[in-house]
Amino acid sequence: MSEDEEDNAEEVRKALSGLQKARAPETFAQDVTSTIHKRSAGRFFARRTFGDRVPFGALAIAAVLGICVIGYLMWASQTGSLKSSHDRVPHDHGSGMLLAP
Amino acid sequence: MTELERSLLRRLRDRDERAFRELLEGHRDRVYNITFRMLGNRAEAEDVAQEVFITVFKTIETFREESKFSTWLYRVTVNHCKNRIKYLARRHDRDRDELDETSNGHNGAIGSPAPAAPDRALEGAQMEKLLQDAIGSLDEEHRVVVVLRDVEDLSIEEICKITDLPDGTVKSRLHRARLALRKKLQRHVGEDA
Repeated sequence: MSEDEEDNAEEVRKALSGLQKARAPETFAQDVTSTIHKRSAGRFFARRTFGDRVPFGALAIAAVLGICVIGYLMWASQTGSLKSSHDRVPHDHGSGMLLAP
Repeated sequence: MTELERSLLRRLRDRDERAFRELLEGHRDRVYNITFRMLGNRAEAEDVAQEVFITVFKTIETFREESKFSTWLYRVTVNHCKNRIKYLARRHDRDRDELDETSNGHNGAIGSPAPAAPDRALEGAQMEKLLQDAIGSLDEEHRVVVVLRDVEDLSIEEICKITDLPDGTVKSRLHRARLALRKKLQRHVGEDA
């Protein structure tokens, strides 16, 4: 680098360091927090039940396990469904006895 | 990293709103100054600075404490600025004529200048605009290093960490940026004369 170039660069550096510091508006902090509140519908601050992310992996495993349990119960059931046989009460379609008033 | 910073980070990770406000109070002016010098427009600078803090708060868990918190914060700031510059370039929105607002405290204020005679104040404002325009005419890679080094007075080492660039690249970009600024300023002075 030539001496001239060095002087020029130094001159620019001095001019730039003399630039005034821009300050954020007074309402800046309020604006940011209200934006966060707005975007998150008030849920952003304070912890969520499952932390920051929905545990999709865990939910998928739980769903598969649930389906397996239901499948096993159906397979083991005598009726082939989750209902036991005595749950089945025949409907009388309104032709039964009326209760005495 | 100081114990105070660690405690602030812990509280931020716990989504403590008061910790977030402390973070804002401590860094807002510096972040805003970087965004303003990078973008040259107050409204854009404010918008980007807001996005920076929202990003920091949303992604605080990804900060691994391998560097200073401020380094990480400035990296987020620089990345947001670069994205905005690209976005604005796509929209051909290059209106950076902000000279008339430099002393207006309503929408972001320049740090209180020392009382000066009107002609000197005008000269200062003109120089400010000239420099800002010259910075704005640099490409984003050169703009980043010149703003961080000469405006924000960060060390070369810290700029390397922020930009993820080697020492030599930062220095050569800085040198080229200063020479380009010098040329632009000289050209302008030549036009005025």
